[in-house]
Amino acid sequence: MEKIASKYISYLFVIMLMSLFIFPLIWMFILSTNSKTDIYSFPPPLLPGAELLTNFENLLAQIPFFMNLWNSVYVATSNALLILFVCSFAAYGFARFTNAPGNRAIFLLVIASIMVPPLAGIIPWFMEMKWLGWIDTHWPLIIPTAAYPFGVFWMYQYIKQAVPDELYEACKIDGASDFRIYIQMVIPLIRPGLGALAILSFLNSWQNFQLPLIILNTTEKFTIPLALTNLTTQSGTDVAGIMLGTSISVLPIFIAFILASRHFIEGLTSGSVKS
Amino acid sequence: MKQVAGSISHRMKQNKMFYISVAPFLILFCMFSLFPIVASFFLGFTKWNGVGVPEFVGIDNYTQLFNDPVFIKSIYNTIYIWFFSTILTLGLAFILAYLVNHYIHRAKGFFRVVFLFPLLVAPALTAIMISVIFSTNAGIVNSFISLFTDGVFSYEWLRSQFWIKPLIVLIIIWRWTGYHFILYIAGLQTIPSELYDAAKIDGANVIQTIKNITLPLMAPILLVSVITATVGGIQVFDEPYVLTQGTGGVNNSGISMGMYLYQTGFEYFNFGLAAAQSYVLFMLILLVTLVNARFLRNRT
Repeated sequence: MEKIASKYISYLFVIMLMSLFIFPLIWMFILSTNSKTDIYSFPPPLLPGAELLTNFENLLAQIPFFMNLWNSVYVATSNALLILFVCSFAAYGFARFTNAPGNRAIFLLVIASIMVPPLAGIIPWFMEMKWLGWIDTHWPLIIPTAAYPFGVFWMYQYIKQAVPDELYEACKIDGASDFRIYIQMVIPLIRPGLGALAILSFLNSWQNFQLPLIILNTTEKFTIPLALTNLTTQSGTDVAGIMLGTSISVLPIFIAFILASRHFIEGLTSGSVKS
Repeated sequence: MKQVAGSISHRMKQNKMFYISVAPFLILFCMFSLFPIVASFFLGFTKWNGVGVPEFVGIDNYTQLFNDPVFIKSIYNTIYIWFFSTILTLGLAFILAYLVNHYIHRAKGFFRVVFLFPLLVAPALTAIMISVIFSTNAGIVNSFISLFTDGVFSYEWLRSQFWIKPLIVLIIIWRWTGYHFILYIAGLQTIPSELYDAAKIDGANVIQTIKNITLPLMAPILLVSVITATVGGIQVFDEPYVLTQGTGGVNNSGISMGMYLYQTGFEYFNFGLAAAQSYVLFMLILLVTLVNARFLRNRT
């Protein structure tokens, strides 16, 4: 009896909490389909309205929305691809050449830097960007973050687990070069690990707000979070437009996430559970 | 000339590929992470507006900061936000993971996915969403409260010096509970069920079982989770910035260290002072992380 009761109470609690957690998302979609005046009426709308197209036109009149969306797509994709290469290549080196002088020391440096806050170096970092002539360009959002210490650590663990040492020897005997071993043998074996890291890096880059805020000045160059937050500071905040923009920007990510959720969850957990 | 096998230069030559493979990472890492952090330390002892040569001023920046009531407030706010968001997020995630793991057998996969949804929305956009939900005239929270009061309830949540910090904490809880929940679920599944059976035979109750079996065995995951929450929490920027529209809130009641650093550096161009601020932030993270690690290690 007691067991059944605690089971039902658990279900009730978990479902209530879940409703609270998804309510803001649902309401965001609802607001994006209602007119400006309905949103400011009392009580606010709880059901979808019919103003989706009008809201969309209003949004497009205020910001170059498609341009901003494209900036986000291209910045996040290039950043993720670069992270995949830089981190997995370094991890391959750390995992395979354990006898190389300096391997342990450099690896420790990488691990330690996972805990170092990027904000600590933000001022000299900004001056570097200025010196490189990268202010108001997308380069600072793509290149510097490619050295992602967690990515190296994550790929290192994955390679250690997925690629047995004997395989390297076998390839070596067959006459493959070290670079070919990386491209043709290691990469195919660690594809799930790369997938998880790709999702994580893409999300990080897609959601970044602070660096675009510091670096970008031109509205046409803004990424989505910056473009939409900028709308709130302008006169007569267009709540419906912002909610619609937010909905559009998270929708593809939701779909991708639901399709790849198994890999994503495995990616999130195995990195920290094993360490 | 033949080299002695095993000498360092010989081993380096043999492992040439190691240096090639880590080179792209190391070059980027040194240029854009290591160098800025070291340079920031030195910049913290100078007065500089970004043009010309930095002027050495010793520890003046640090004395100025600790006499600046706004800076002190930003430290207080940051610790407040970090502390409450960490305790509440991790506590909620643990309860949720424990319930789902032990009592819920249907739709486990569904719950794992749903609680991760908030992670998909950028923190800046989440902050916009929360500010709409808590807005004065059209907010659903005020409308809901109005159902129980005479007339229209129109409390100004975002202008409240008391509520601005809990709202920031709320955004962090909403965003991160699912992430820690997933970590804990994975951790709970690694605990063998025989241990629970043995505890049951010994007559242990739920609290005793959690205290003596679950928590000690989960200590490594808890540590990862606390450190993640700390490094992220102390750097908090997006949420207070968007929620207060860049002002820091009425009377700076919502300003975080990250935000004040942004204002000093990129609004007032006081680069030396901002660098000093970034080092106080760095030291704070270091301190809290070391205390966390020691605390969690002692418990196991």
